[in-house]
Amino acid sequence: MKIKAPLTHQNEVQFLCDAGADEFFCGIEPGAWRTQYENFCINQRVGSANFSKLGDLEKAIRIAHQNKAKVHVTVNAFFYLEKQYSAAKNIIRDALGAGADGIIIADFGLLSLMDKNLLKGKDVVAGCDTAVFNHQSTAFYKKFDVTRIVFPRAMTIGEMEDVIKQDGSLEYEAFILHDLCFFVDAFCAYCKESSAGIKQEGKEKKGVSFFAAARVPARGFGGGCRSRFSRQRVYLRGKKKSTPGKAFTFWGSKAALGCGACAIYDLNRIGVTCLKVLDRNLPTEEKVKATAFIKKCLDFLNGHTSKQHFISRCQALFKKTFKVRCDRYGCYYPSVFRSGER
Amino acid sequence: MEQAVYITKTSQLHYANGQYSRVYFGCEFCERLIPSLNQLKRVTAFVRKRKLAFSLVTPYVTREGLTKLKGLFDLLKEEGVVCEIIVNDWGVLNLINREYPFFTPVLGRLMTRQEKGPRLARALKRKGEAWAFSDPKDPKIKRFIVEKEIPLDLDPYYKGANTLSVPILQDFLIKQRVKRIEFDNALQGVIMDVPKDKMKLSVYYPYGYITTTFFCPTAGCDDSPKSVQKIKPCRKQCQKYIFKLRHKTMPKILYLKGNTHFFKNSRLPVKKLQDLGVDRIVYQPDIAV
Repeated sequence: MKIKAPLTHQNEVQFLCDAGADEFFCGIEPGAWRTQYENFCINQRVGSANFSKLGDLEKAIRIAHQNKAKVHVTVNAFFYLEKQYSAAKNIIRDALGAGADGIIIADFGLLSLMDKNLLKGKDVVAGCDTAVFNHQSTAFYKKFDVTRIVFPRAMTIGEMEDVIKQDGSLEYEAFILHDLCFFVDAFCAYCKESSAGIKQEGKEKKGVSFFAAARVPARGFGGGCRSRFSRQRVYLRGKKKSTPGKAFTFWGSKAALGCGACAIYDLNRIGVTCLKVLDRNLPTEEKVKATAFIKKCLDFLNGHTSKQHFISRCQALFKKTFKVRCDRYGCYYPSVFRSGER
Repeated sequence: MEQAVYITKTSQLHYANGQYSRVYFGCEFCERLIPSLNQLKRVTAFVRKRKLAFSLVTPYVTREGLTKLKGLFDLLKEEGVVCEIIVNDWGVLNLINREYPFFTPVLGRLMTRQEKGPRLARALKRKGEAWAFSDPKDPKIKRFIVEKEIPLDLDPYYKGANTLSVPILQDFLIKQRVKRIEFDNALQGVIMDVPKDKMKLSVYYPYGYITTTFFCPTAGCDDSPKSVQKIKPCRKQCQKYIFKLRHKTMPKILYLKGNTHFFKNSRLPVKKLQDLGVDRIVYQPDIAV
């Protein structure tokens, strides 16, 4: 299995390759796009998580290729306006021209508009926003010459296995670390309303700092699915209401780290080809730490270990690496802990 | 304007009174709630008797759900029911086009790619609000957010949807035999540009969905300890409770029913929607889970 790591700067490439990355995913938001579509991201990360110059991306790709690693460029906005589709297509053309090995797309619209000759010999990755939950969906996306499917976070290992069994001709990618979300990306309006993020204006003075938000506050600053809601239960029969309870959130007491390392054993067994470490917004050292952690977990597989032994080793390594114990809120694939569950 | 009523269980058939000419039946959000063959039989018998048009609503599905749906499609085929299938999964569309070409596929609201986050309505009012909060990591640090106005030329994005505004995509959908697109009556309003001769439109009223998941937050809510895991047992608590969710950043009360968040928008600008090409209102007497 390969490890796919997040990339935002050419200086990170060598560190991440040394940590075990076989592939990278990154975004590029050229100045022309930023000027024309202020506060509208070309992909699902804000400006700072993207390359802003094609030259920098080209350098990063060169270093990656020297390390025999692939680079996929993500152009995965929820959707684009008509005029933006042509701009997005141009960016894809430029990125592939700069040596990128493939693209990650979320919107079937962009896929259906792509020039097939341009994508010949390149990896076309249907991102998790394409919502592939079954083999009929893979058949649908194969019409667009998709070469790899990224499984949505909400799928279990058993459900992934069902898809892979039906069509082994494609590559399959699963999330493995960071950025766990309980909702289906493709159907979620919360994260689509805050993708532009907020931008600090000026420097912090005396513990006070100002931010400008062109849209609504990004997650972590209240609102969205991570809100601590006041929740009131209403019984449908008799319409009895409970009093509004204490604050409720889907995320436990703190944001989930999101780890699926214990499932690597099963993911390997069912034929998942690539494990994706997430979050382009993380600092380089966190990305390196995460990638190295997954690489070590993969190495545990090589010793013909039992599943239980593998899980114990992963959990111990997790605690040692991240200084926290893994918990049920942060588990990507909780079914691995239950016998008989898929 | 065609009036349709959307029911999720047979006990709601009484809603399908003379006011409506079409019945929507099924569930968009959970494969565990796909109706049984007997339930479908009851509903098809009901609509046939009253000469009502029929649409079967389908959710996003794994292999398990797909198998259930195939059973329902086979039943409809056997009974010769002419109907629409509301599709919320590309795989289901693929299946219909390959194996059940006599059904009419309709692009469901989960597939329309519409911006409808509940907070967008407030942001699009462009009041330039400012608010303060303490840094979550260090409460001594105060942070102020000053809202910049969203550029007006992005309104077609924030009030639109790709399938509702990009002609090339509409042509693509037509090639997939999709000639009707469904969408929510978003709080911030809707902008669309759909050729009326090529594509028809339906709007859902009064509930719009915000987000949904297989990790059902309602399943197991009676259990102790509560968990947010996909694998916890489902006892269909969604049929017993609904949760009202309140938050200061949200302009309205939100509803959590089963695995899905909803907002309610009671305002329905019928004339405006009609001018935009909407020819069907899908009325949900209850939240459709």
